[in-house]
Amino acid sequence: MPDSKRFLHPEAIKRIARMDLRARHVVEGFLSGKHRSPHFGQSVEFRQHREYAPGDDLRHVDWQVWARQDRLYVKQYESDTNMRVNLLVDVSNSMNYGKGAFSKFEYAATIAVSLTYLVLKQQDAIGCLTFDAAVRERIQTLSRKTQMQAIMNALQSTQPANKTDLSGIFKQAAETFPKRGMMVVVSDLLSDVELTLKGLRLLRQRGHDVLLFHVMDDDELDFPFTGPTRFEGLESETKLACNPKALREGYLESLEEFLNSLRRGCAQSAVDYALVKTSDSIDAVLASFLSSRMEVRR
Amino acid sequence: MFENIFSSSPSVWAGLVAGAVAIPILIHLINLVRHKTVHWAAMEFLLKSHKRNRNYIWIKQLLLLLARIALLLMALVLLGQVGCDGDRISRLLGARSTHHYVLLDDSFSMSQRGDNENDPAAFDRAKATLSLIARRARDRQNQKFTLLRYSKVPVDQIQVASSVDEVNSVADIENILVDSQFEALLETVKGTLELSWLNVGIEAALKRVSTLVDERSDENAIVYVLSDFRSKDWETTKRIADDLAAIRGADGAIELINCATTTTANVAIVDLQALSNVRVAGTPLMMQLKVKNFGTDPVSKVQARVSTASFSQPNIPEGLSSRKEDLPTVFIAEIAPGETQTRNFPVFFETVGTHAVTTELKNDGVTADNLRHCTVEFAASSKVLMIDDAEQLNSDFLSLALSPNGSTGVEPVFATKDFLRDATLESLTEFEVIFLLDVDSLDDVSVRKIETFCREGGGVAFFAGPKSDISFYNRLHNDGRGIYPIELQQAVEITEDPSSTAPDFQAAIHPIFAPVNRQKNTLLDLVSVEQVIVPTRSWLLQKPPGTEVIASVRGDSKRPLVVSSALGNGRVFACTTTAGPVWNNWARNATFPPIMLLMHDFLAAGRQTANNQLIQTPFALNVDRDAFLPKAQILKPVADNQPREQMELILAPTEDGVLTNQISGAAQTQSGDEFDVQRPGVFDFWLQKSAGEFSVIRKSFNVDVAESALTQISNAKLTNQLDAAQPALSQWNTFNPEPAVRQASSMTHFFLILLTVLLIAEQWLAYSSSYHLS
Repeated sequence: MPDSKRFLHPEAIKRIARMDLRARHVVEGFLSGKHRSPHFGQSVEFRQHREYAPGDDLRHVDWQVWARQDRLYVKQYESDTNMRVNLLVDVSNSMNYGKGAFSKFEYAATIAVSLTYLVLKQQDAIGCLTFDAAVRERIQTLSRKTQMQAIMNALQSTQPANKTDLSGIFKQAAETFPKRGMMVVVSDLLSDVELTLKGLRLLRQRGHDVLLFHVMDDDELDFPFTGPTRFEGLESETKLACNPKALREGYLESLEEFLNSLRRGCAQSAVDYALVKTSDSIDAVLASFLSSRMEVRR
Repeated sequence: MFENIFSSSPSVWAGLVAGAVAIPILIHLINLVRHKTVHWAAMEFLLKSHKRNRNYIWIKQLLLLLARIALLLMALVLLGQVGCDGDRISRLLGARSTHHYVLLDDSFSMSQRGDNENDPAAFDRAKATLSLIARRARDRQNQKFTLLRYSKVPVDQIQVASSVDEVNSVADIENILVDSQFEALLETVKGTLELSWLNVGIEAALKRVSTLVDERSDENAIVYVLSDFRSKDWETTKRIADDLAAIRGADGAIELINCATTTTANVAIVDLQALSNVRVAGTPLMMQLKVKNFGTDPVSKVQARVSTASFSQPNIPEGLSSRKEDLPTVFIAEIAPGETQTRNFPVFFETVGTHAVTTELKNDGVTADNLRHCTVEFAASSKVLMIDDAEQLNSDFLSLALSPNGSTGVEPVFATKDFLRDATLESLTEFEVIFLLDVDSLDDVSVRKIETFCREGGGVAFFAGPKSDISFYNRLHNDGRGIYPIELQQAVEITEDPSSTAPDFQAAIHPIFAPVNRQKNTLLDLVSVEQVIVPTRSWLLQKPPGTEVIASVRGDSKRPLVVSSALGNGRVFACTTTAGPVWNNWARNATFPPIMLLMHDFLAAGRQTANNQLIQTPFALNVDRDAFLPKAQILKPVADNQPREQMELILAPTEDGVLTNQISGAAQTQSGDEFDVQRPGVFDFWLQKSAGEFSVIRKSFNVDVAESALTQISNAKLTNQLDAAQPALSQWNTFNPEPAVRQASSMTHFFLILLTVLLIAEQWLAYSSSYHLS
């Protein structure tokens, strides 16, 4: 029986639950509320009160309730703008690598599920798209509670196998998700860096808020190998027998060059970029990432 | 082992070098095949790095490979050095059990000191070197030690292969493990080591050690020879070389350590003998002393002190005493190198018995040969039997010549031929010489007695005359096999020859004619010979062996006057004319008495046994089994100025009816008593007769002066002669107890440093080439 809860690490979820996910940019939504909407005041049907949370717009504070109860509540309306979050999870073969507790894929999936839980808890819509060279599976963007299970099933049933085509996938995602929302990309990005950045720029051009979790294994960042080693490519037929220590310096230089290109490209395209290592604690990574977004929001 | 590998053949070397080259390459290739496999995502960066560093990596790999090959080759060279540098000592001192065999030369030439009197003797240096050898052994594990002196192995056992047990019985230290207790043991043994008085070489001891080395093939063997390496011992080294080569062949090492300094002066008394064979108490006896200079420089003012010891004749050995007397010193002005000078001096003993004469030189390089003893047996008189007719014409003249006033010690006894017939053989032995003076003939019994008398050492002289029966004498001649040396033909008259001025009595060079030999116009020339009996033609053409004409009529070989020959131990003279003035006037000539005395002395020599007994040559004490008890008391000399030591010796009967004890220079054991004659001096053998009284045989034993030659063999010659054994030669003061330290050549150090540098380089290259796992 598949362990459908394996990506829900309670500690990570608990810490993320105390924070709100904030979009950096105004997201188009049909529900007004916590998120600023370009369609301001279109829907006014009251739905419920919600306790004021720091960051809420003071215009939505129900001052009558405050006068009666001396408590701050905001009013929520039925048609308040909702955030649409789409997870783009890389399930290519390169994500299979991992010597620590997690493989890159497991790590990416854990991040994805954690985010799903968070988004659904604040009643936003979330969808998921797993890909390698092509889209492997797609979960519609909905705010139903069943999304959690659907996304988890999608990730669970996927076994990384093929090559990656990030630019193609980003192009396809831009077409698949016409409504502006948040695009959370979880990948090792081991592909042509220019094409990758081109794809990300396309998403940004469509008005998506793009978050990029760049998942790398510690070995990939440190290259600690010694002794005669034969390296076989996970997404290619390339094989190389060598003494790793002799190649380490050159490898790290090339990697640094790659990462710098990514960081620079993401910054230019206003893509939130985060390099995470599989040895990092997932809750800390998410908490740190969301905190930084909230800082930006303020 | 290494040596066998490295010296066996070039192909072995080639194989080892090929292996040293091939092994690192194989290991390198195996390393490449045995790599771990990693499925890697970020191949792009890796390929980029590989492309950038490919040449650098290749060069480093190549350097690593070359360093490893060089390492193995260097190790091979070092091992090769170990096997081939000739320093077998350091190799043998390795892990395997090592046996140190020390052959210690204790011949008396090892007493040689340096020019300074305070210098230690060669033997003392040898003992000091013993400690160094022990130190070499002590500093290592599993070392054994055997010490064997030359003199402890009987020389006559050279050819006998020795077993371990036999060596145990003669070695001072045999197969002892060198441990913490060994030093104390060695010091104790060194305290007991003394020089022998023997002239003994290495052969017998080396033969034993060679056998041991062969038997103990599971041990390394190092054979040390501590000696003075005299030329006399090492010039002819065939047997030594063979034994040393055998040791070398058994993978043993040989170290020859010279403990002597350069040759120093050495003067030795090489001989001391009684000149005269007539030794009568109360009559002066001439002794002959020979002194030889064995050094390389002339020596002058050599003084030989002479002393005599006359022994009383007690009934039992305990009562023995001697009266010592110093005689005038014999002085020799100068002796050239290698020259022997002879001096005669008289001694005089009043009493009957065997007395001793001792000569002694002052101390020089070797002291043992500065002393020499000689024992001389003096009788009450020297009895001479003269067989003549009743008129005693011949015997009167002869007795007057031999004993003119009784001072010569000769006691003539007159008898007719009937005496010979009636006398027993034993009664004849009291005479030293029998003169047969114009005896016509003898019966067969008498002839047999005379022949037996002569064979047993008695002297016989025949004088012809008018009564002589030629046919009888020819029977005595018996075609050269009999006692009479001439086959006679007839008596002839010697007529005067006006044309010749040659004297009638012409003597050849012979001891009995010493007074007239090499003299001109002697009184002998006045002797007139009127008649002689000439020999047959066949005798003249072919004389029996040993027959010599020592005087003839006018030098005519066809008319011999005196003929000398020998029968058994005895000597024989035959004179073809009369002793008295019948056929000649020689008896009235002044030369007659001295020549007759010398003839008597010459004839009496057969009874005298050689008195040059060396301490290491076998000496047999044979006595009549019926006359003596099988037990003898021995008085033997010990240290100087010490009373002689008494011990008992058991004699064994033989099938020949005698009691004997074969005494040789080596120690012999009789009924538990050990007796040796390894010290020079005067020995008494007291024998008790069946009737109860004692009889003494007194003998002097001297060192063999062959050992006095101190010339040493050169190292070059020694190396050349012992080429197959490849011995290591060193002086006692250059002997190195730590051969490995000295023998480690500068090249070895260089190779070791290079090997270390290569090892470090290899490790660095291997580390940087990622062959070290983190």
